[in-house]
Amino acid sequence: MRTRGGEARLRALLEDLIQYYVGVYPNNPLALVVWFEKAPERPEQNILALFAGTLRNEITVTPRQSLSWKTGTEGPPYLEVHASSVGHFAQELASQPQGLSRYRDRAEVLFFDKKFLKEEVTQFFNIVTAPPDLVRCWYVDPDTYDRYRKGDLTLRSQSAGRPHLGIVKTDESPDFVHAKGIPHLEFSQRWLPLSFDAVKNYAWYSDWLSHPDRHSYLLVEGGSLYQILKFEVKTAPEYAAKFQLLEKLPDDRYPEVYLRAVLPTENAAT
Amino acid sequence: MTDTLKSIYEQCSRLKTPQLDFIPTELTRNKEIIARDLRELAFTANNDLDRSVVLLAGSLLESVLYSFLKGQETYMSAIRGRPFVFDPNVSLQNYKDIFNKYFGQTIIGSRLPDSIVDYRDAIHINRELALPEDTCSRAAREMLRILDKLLGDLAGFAAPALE
Repeated sequence: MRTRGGEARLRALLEDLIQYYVGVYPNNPLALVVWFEKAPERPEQNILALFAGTLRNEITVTPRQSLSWKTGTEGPPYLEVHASSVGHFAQELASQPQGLSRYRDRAEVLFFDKKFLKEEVTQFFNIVTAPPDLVRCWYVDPDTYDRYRKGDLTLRSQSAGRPHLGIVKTDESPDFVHAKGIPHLEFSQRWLPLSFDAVKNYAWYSDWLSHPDRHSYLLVEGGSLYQILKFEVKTAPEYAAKFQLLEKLPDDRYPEVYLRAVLPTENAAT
Repeated sequence: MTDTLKSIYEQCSRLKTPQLDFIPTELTRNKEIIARDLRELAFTANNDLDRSVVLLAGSLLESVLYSFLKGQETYMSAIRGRPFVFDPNVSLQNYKDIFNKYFGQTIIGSRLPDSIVDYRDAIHINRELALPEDTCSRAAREMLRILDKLLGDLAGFAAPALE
């Protein structure tokens, strides 16, 4: 199994096993799978599987099994599974991290579900799901903003649920009033920049396009409020590296949203 | 509020005149079901029925992805290096993740956002209650556009030749 094709096949076998693990404990969903001490050319492989909750308070090592288990075949490649819970692994990270260092040796994260992971675990395995300066935002459309101004609702109520978009600021005025940034969205748990073509699907763009006379806003995590002024597309080959975006757009053309900070109104609680 | 569902639907050319040739010929019933649901979607959108549009558009996203992926098993198997066995008993989230993984970069700009699963799950009242009041309205508008774009992306897709 020395070729790239061999590694691809090995990866596919591991993916099949992961698919099985996803549903194996309905109350303790699979949270993370790491292929560690990775050596595709060897007949034996190792994975670490962490489950949500407190399923296990130890790291259990299962007896070696054939990765061809689905077909009932006994033979290489073989797999050793180190299984534990996220909670226990996080505790071990705090108390004796040196004992876990082998799980980071030639490691590749094959699966994760970030809603079940703890931050220390994602940091340990260097799972990056967003650019470092991404700010999460919720869209406040013109009608909702009017209701907020009348005191019919709070802005805080608008930040329930998944953020509607993320912004990586590319520029900001010295007084912090004006800023512009690249809109991002979550795709399979990763915040990725949107192309101009994709931006058109979302209310925060289409409302501005259809009714530029009506003001719409972005509520930023932490409570700041920005008015959406306009969108423009910029060709910027440097953006991907400069702002550590998780993906470079193929044509380097990034839509940017222009924003103006606004103060919360006096007659409505934020 | 802003654009009506009817006006958005009017701009969605792929929803109005869908090209479903990306569905394999042996999946005739899939095509019939999708065509039926698209007709019903037209009715609900033209009558500005937010909730019905969310339900139907969510169902259509699932049907379209299921039927498309079913027809691409050979292509996905070639990429994986071993047979891709499509499990039909999985969720919209799983279909979306499979689609994003295998086609998100091949069909540029076609990736589907995680939010469509949240929108679809808002069919459960406890989920909708936990979200802002305008969620259903926004979801209906975005899902119409996302479905329209997906249909366009798939209609223009031909699996690249594999070495």
